[in-house]
Amino acid sequence: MKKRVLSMLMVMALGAGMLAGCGKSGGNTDNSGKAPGSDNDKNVYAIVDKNTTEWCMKDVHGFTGFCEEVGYSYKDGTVAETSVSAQVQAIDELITEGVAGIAINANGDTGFEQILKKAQEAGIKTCSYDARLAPDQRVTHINQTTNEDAGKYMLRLGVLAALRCEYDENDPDMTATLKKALEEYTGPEIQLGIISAGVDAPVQNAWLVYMEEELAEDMYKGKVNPQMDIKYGNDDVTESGNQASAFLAEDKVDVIICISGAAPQACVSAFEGSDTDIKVTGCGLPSWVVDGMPSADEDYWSKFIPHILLWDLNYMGATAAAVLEAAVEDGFDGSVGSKLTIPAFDRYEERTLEVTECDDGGTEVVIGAPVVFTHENVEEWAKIL
Amino acid sequence: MKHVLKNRNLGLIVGIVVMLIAAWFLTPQFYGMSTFASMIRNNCVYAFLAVAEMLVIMSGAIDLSGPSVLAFTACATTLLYRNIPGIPMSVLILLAILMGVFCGVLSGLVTFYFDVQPMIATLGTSYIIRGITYFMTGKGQQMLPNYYTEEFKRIATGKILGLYNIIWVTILILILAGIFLNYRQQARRMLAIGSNKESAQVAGINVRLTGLKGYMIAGGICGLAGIMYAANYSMCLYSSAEGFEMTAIATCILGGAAITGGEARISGNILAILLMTIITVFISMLPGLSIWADAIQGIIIIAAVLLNIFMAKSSERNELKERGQRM
Amino acid sequence: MIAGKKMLTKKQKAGRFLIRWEMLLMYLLIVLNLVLLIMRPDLYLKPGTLASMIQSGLNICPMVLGMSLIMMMGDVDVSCTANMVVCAYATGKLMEGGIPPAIAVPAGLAACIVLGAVNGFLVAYMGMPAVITTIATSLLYRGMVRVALGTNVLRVFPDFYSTVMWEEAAGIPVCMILYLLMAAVFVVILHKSRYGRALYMIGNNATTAEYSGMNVRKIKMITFMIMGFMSGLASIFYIGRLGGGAQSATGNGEEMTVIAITALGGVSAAGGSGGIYGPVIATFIMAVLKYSLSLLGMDDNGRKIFIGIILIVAVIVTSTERGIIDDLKENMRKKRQARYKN
Repeated sequence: MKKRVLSMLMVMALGAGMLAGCGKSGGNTDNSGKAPGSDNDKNVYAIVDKNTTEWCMKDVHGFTGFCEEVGYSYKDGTVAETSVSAQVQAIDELITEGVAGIAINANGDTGFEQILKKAQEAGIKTCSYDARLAPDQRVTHINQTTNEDAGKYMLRLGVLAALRCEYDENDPDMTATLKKALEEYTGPEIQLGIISAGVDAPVQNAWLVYMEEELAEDMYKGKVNPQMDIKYGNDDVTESGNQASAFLAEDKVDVIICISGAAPQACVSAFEGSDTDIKVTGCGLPSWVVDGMPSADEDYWSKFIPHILLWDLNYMGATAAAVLEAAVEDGFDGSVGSKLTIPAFDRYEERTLEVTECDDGGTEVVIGAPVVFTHENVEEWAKIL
Repeated sequence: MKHVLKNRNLGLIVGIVVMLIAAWFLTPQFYGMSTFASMIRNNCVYAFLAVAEMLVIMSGAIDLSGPSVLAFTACATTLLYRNIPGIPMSVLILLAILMGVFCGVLSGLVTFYFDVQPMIATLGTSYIIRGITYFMTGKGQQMLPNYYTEEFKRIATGKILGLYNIIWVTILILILAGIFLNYRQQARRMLAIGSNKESAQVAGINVRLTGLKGYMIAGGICGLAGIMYAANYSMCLYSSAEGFEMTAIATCILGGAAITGGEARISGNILAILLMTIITVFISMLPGLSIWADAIQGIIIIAAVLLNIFMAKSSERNELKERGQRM
Repeated sequence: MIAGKKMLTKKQKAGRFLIRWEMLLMYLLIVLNLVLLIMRPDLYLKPGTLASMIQSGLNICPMVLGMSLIMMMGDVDVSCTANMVVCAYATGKLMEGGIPPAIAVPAGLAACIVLGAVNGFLVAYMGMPAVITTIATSLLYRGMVRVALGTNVLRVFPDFYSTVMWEEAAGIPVCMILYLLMAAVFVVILHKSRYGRALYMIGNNATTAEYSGMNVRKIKMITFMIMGFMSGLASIFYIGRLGGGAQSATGNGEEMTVIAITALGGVSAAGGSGGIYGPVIATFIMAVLKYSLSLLGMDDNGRKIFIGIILIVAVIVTSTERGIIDDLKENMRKKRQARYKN
């Protein structure tokens, strides 16, 4: 008798919960927004990022923030699981909902063929950002910076750190500074270490390719070992921590270049308390870097991380929205040479970007070169990113 | 000599020795003192989870929700610490354990009182707990290092007699677990329900309550692990420790706990934890080997369980033989 | 009281039928559809929505059928998706090398049967518990694909993969037709064959089954091999949904969904009860539920929690399901006795 009553109660609770859940999230303004005074006919632009971690949500906030300010209706369909099939599901649902455009940060470079064909048949415009889709599946691709720039910049930062050189703002791509410093360098061969994400992470692997290309340049010959020691941290703090400890123990590398989001903190955490000479650099969110320095001490900057770089995730999201709007309203087709104007918003001014050729046969819009943060400008940037 | 061979932990000891020798030749940097310290420090989390898992497995159930409890308490204590300034560390630790126990009650209820298969039950509870953690941290925000003051972090990274606090706590838990297993009646009851539920019931043991208590203790340990994790890494997230439950289960099996329940050895567990730690660090030190990590873990588990079964069967045979000889 | 089988009136039989677990699931499915219809009629009635919902949820359907058999025995197979990836790898690699689908596809399926046999061997003949075995083989199989494939992606797959998941025939999605056909085959296997009866017995009490002369080991082996085959078939559906692309991480995590659906379908994880109808309906329920929740505005994380809760509730109610019917029987008997007394 008790069990029966219990089970009936459960089924009713299930039903009630469902309705309550639906009602609650129907009014949820967090993942969709309507511009004030708009009706259902307004075009809705959707974004599907890789996953819901804070790093990826920076792009999404850029997108939604921009839409709100400029007056577009938007929907956030980002998935919780970092997988292609979850994104395919999300896109399917967005198609059914009848959005006008979808911006996608792809979790894999294959698997989208069918679903995007369906989207195109429904008249929906798609573009990709950060991790790209196939050329014929997108209007254009938005790259915060080319993989080439990203990889080469990070490598140069690494060598710069190993040489104990300061980053010169007047020489943003570091080639001049490096050339001089390397010429003067007479010490033992510099060994670089890398903490990457997963073994099959496409973006990181692309960067690694460009890093190796950079290392083949003349100025490094004999001074820097072209063989980099690559360890994989799977984008997980504990794993990355293990890899950092391994580097620490081996003490063979002069600098660790972190190309995974979880790595810089893991390194600092692992290095704490030791008086190693190994420097840490690579890519990282400035807000994490500022908050992440365990006691916001100048010490950590001079001790471990001389500089770190990133690209403007916020602006990337905004550009994605602008691309969708242009494609839907103005007939922007992403062909090489066409121009895209992004209106002013937040603390950014109006910018016009030109579409260039992408190395996979399609087109892309490159926002700019990576931004390097040193302890001089990191505080400022931490407010945005 | 026979005595040595009969020792049930022989396989593990051999494994450890083999790994150490391999490390000597292939990755000599393994032997740096700082390596040991950080290596052990980082892997203490696995030790907590393995002990908790052992308690549940020996009761005949399984627990997939350990890491989610860990993430939950890690984030919860961080948030509490932020919002209630001046809260003493001892209170926080106590709260962490209590929260863990509470989560354990949930899993225990569903498994033993509602008769749901433990794997599915704890799978469900892990989803729920992670979900609660997600919303609790404001839709998945990360707990950042500057939330933690020295006071908090010292729980794990402070040093007493040259060893990190977290290592001391781990040793304490292992000792307590050993005492519990060998001297407490509660533990014997848990082993009983693990080996044969019906007989235990007939013998008068309250199967449901005992099983529930097992989950509660395991939950408490995971809760403690949570606050240790947060203090050690100075950061945590709703998705922290994802996937650790498999390693915990593997460690338990390696350590001789029968997967169907009814058997557990703390000595085996300790050795298994050591072995797994050494293997993990070893793999991370060999370039290019990380890609094999999963496959290797799978092989290890299969080998360990097969060995487990083989030894159980052969010890049965030996016992029968001895009895025959005595007659 | 007359000893032996009670004769039930037609009304009683109908009543019993209507509260069977499978019928409860049908009600749930109908309720879900109604909820969506009421709250978002514009979307529900839009052509193609229903098809989209079904197609989105059927990408793992063959595994559900296989898993039903396995769970009916009291075991579980967590390595099904890893198995699926191996099949995808085999077929994809062969096709990349230019081998025609007629050979590549069966080769992949054969590989899966072998892997299923490995599982079966370890569980049935070596006596390893299914849970831990399949966890280990899952790591092993997926690990092997990872080593073999590295960071590469396989792109060449037969066209019919996509056709299965994305096309319709006479307005009904092809995958649904295929699923129902496969389910029919399984119903025959389960209810009309000696093998099926043996499965039930083993699930109820393996020791008794062994003592009554059944070759429990062989039957378990066969079941795992069938599961392997179904995992291979699942690769067609899953990869088809992805439009023909596979990498080593494909399908990771879906095995829990499969187990959840099977448990929801009334197959008790302890073994010995359930059928095929339940899991089939449950597959559709899960498909519609996931899709609707998103259409109704829930974000992905909220959805995951929700489904987790549903899983638990469903399994709890399943395990008390016998309780419902037995309780009702008890009540009816008590009432009748009370009437006789007066």
